[in-house]
Amino acid sequence: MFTIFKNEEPKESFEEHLLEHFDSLYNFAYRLTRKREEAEDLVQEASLRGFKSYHKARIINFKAWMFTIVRNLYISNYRKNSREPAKVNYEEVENFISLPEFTGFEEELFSETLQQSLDQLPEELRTTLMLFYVEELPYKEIAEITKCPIGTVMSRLFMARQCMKKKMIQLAKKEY
Amino acid sequence: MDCQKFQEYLYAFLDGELEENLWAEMEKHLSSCPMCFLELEKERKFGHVLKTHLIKEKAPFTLRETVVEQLDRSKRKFSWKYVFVRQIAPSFALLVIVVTTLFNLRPHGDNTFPIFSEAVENHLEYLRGIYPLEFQTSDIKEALSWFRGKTDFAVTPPHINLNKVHLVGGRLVHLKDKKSAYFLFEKDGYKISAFYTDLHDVSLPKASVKSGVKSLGMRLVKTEKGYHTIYCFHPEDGTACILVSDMPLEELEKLIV
Repeated sequence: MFTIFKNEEPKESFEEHLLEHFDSLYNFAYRLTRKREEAEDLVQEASLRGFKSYHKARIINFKAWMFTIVRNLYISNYRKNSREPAKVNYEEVENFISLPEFTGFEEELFSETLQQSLDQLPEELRTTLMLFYVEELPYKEIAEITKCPIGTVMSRLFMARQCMKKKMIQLAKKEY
Repeated sequence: MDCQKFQEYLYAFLDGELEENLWAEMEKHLSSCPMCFLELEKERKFGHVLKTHLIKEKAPFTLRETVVEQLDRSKRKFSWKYVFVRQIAPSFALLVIVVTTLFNLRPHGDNTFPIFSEAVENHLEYLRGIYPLEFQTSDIKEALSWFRGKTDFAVTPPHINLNKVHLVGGRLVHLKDKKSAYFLFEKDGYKISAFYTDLHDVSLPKASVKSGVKSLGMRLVKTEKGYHTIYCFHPEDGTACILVSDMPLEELEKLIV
């Protein structure tokens, strides 16, 4: 499953690879932690861990590999301190999905509104949604990073979309 | 394909992840169902909004600098470990292998214990008459008395059955730069050289396949250049008797006492 570790890349270029994807990594860390300070710590720690493993790992997709490290570190070191539940509250999500479909929302919804909606999603949905829409990764790579089957990625993405629609409507009604 | 089925595959279709065999069916349904078409467009629009409005946070410059500095520090630390593990350790291991191999492949016997080859060389030289005998006698007692006072050790009769061989004579020789007694015997046309010498400060040769030295009871045997050398060591006084001959080894062994 983890094809991101199969092939070797030039061994001298960890820093180059890292800096090339640095913003994506930071953004990913920030979306996970939702705190800038923690995101910075997470990126630093992940960078060092990645550097130490780089010469041993067989990497075909550096970005996906680093995302995996960031997420693993987040789960082991940061999530336990987080306010959010570790697992998706599927019942809650089901409630969102069962709500009547909204119509006519506009592209003019501000980015802040979207960000707020995203930040309120459970971590697993937030990560999946962000990896798909922001990082534009295919299902397969998201499955590798989040260590779950592709089917789970699809269902998480589905639930995340429904949640986002619902939350965006709530926010839009409240603020605009 | 009906609307329910279409809804099931809607996102995979939108996300470009739908299996190829379903594409045609989805498109066919879309062309005939305005409701599903509207649904698809709504979701496409929603996806577009997400893609375009979700902010991608840029990493702070200070973080970038900090990470680069940390990596530089780690590189310095890591490089020693890396150089050791990847280069020094394997090189050292290779060196050990090469040295061990060379040690095992080195010529045995002649270098570690040249007494065998030296005895053979001497045997040949005496046969060629390069060094003539200093005395000729068939009486072993006479021969022993001739050596008395000429060597640093007491010369005793060589380890050979004197009743089965004929003593020709002898002389003083140097083996390992030590004064040694040399006896020449004859048996059935074969010449047998017997070197009696003091080797108490010379390490004993070891029997091994590589060195070609075989153990024969308390004795060591080596064959080179068609000559058999039998080494009889006297641990009690450090002296040794070395017999050299080209007679068949089995016959030679029978003469040893």
